[in-house]
Amino acid sequence: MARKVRNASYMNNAKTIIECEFILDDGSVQRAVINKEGTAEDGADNPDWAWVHEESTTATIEENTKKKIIALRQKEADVIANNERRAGEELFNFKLKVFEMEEIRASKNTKMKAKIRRGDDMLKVNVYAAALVAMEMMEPAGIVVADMATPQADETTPVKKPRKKATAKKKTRIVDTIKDDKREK
Amino acid sequence: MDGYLYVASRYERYLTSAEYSAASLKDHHPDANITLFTEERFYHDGLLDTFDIVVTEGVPNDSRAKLWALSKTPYDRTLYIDADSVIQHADIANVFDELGDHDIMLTKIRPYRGAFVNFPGGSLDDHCGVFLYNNEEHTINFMRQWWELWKVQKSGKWQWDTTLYPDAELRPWDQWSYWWLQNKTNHAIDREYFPFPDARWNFVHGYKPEECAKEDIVIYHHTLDVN
Repeated sequence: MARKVRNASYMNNAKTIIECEFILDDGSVQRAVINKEGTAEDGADNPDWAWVHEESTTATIEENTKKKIIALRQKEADVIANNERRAGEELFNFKLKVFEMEEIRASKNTKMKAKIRRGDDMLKVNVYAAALVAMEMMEPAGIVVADMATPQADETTPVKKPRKKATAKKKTRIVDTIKDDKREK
Repeated sequence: MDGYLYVASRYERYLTSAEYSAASLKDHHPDANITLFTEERFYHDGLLDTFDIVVTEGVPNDSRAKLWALSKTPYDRTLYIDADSVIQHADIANVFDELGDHDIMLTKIRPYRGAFVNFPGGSLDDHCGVFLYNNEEHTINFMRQWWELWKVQKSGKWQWDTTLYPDAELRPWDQWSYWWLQNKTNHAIDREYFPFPDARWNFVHGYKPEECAKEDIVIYHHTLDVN
């Protein structure tokens, strides 16, 4: 049966193995791997090796090899990027759960909260969250926790003026949606 | 006065996320004016540490409460930000300069991200998760109409030609009522897109990094897990 070769490329650095596709007369495609040395007992080269090089120039095989390597590297990079993005989403949602803990939600320690928010991995978020919860639990017991995140007594900390809870007072006029538009009936 | 608007309704996780997002906004723009609309049941005094104004009166328990809130902005120019977004760059302070004389400015939806975009009668191109708008009367009226139309869309009372506009794919989305108002009614307002690379103003999880053309992401839009 006659056949043609396509997409031939080298599979190893020594360029002694080729991967390609055979297109058969009936249109079917077979994937083939050709070892230059073949399996003949007399040590002769694999005849398919020479045939592939007649059908496809070395330059073409080299070019196909480069394309495959680039595609493979891109695929690997995509997998890594997707994994990083997925991990980023998991971290974000984990932080939100941390901020829903009562001790952390109620805490006024904005510096430690910022450390949790800026934590770039689960470990840091866990450590800072645990530290903040511990600090919040110690405070009512009269234990003073001196750390880098809590402003010291002699530091001048600007006092934030409490803001009033506001409500929307503006009366809004609702324009008739049906009369005032040209929607299709 | 310019300011930023957040809405958190239905799930407490959205409130937590809005607080988180607003704190990240203040990291990069400490003088930002920020208003939050949330349900009364979610209110706690700590919110006033982050938000300048907290509105609870009348805020509906609705997945699209943002549409109710948009027309009630206290600002001349408003940047609406979905609660599940995080601010990552100081350029957020200059965002209002982008609006120019337009009524509303948004980013484009990326179909490869998996969003439903094309249908026989048109396409949903505008991402309504982050957008700038002014307080011109017609713009504010558009926002009111959006809420009114969303209510009848959600209730099922609004019926349309489903051969042109497939029901199952469009009815759940507020982008649909937005699209209708912009394309089929005289409530339409002047829309413009953020200039390229627009994605840096609303970089949705799953976008390709090259969308930002090597510029820094200003707003990263996460995907919230409410469970």
